[in-house]
Amino acid sequence: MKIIERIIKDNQKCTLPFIWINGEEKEVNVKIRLVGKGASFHMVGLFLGTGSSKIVFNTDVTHEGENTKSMTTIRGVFKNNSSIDNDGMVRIQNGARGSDGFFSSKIILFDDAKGRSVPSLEIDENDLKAGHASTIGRPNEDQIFYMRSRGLTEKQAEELIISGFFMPFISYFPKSEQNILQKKIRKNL
Amino acid sequence: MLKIINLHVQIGNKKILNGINISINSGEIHAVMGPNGAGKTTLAMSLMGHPGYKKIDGEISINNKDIISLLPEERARIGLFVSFQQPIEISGVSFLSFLRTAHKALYPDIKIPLSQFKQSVINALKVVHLDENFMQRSINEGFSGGEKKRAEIVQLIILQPKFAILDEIDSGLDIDSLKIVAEAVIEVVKQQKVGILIITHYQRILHYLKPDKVHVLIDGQIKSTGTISLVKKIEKDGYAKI
Repeated sequence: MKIIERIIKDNQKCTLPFIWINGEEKEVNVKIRLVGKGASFHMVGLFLGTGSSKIVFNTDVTHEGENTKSMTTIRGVFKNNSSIDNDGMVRIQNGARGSDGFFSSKIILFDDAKGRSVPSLEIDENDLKAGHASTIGRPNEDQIFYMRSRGLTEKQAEELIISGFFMPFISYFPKSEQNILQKKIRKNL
Repeated sequence: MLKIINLHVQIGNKKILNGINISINSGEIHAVMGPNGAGKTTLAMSLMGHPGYKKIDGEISINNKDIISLLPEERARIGLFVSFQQPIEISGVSFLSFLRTAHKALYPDIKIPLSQFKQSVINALKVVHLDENFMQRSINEGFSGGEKKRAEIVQLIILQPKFAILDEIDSGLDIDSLKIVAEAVIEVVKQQKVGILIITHYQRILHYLKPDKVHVLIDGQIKSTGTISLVKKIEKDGYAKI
């Protein structure tokens, strides 16, 4: 099991990009504490599973300081028999006035892949903003047909749709890695 | 020639098309009009081979090649194109890279340098009065209804099919956009000798396009075929009297 921990202090900004492409980790737990005033955190977690690879990925974000902000973004594509099990906790403690926490996950399942993504909010403060959005679904057949009607095979259409799905989040990774990541995604489709 | 013979199609257990016969020559424009639920979009989608529409009888051929058992992409490669009534949005895939991939898929033997391909896309965007920056935007994402329809015409210009089905290309277009789209379609017909099947509710675009034939589709059957005068009759009397 891998644990990623961060303690974020006054006015610190922390961005945590994470990518798992049939990775070696079986379970990853991310624990974040926003302890300082005005601390902010943005997690981008991208997941691509094929074959029979499996990942348990949990995030636990605790707002302790005033005016802290967090955004947890999970995007996953799972094919064949692969799977993801994801819990996303956003906790706003008493005293973390004016804080804002959000969890968002979108997971696309192909074939017999399985996915679970459950956001939770634990709130002990009155003055705050918090929310979550979570969708797990099959690939969009209309998109695939649209592309096929222009001459792309089903496989080409799926590859383009999946690359496009990850595309807006690639910029969160260091510039030097972006090309390699895109190639790695394409190679594993 | 795009030839549709005795086409019967159902969705689930419901029969939608009950024996359609239409033949379109290269360079001809045919219009299909009909009330809601007559089967117009079913006709467009089943010509393109949508897996949700089940053909139960009939033939479809392009220049004498039977396409009925072909996949949508194989039909596209033979030269069929359909513009969607509601063009689909795809995040993270730029309009340019999609067009480039599609063009390569349709014409694997033609190598065009990217700069030259880009220029032809810019030119096509200009034809329908869309800005160059549409190339870099995600396919149809954030486009207005009218921009989506015009972007379909850009695809028609770039992908150069032999036959194109335009499913309600005019719906949601204001009068100026309608004229721009109609003129672009006329150009494509003139220059590339594309055969067009346009599906529409309204006579307005047909006055620009001047179709060679007008077919009236009711309850999954062509009830009447005529010239533009048939359109005027429908406008006056409605479909009930056809």
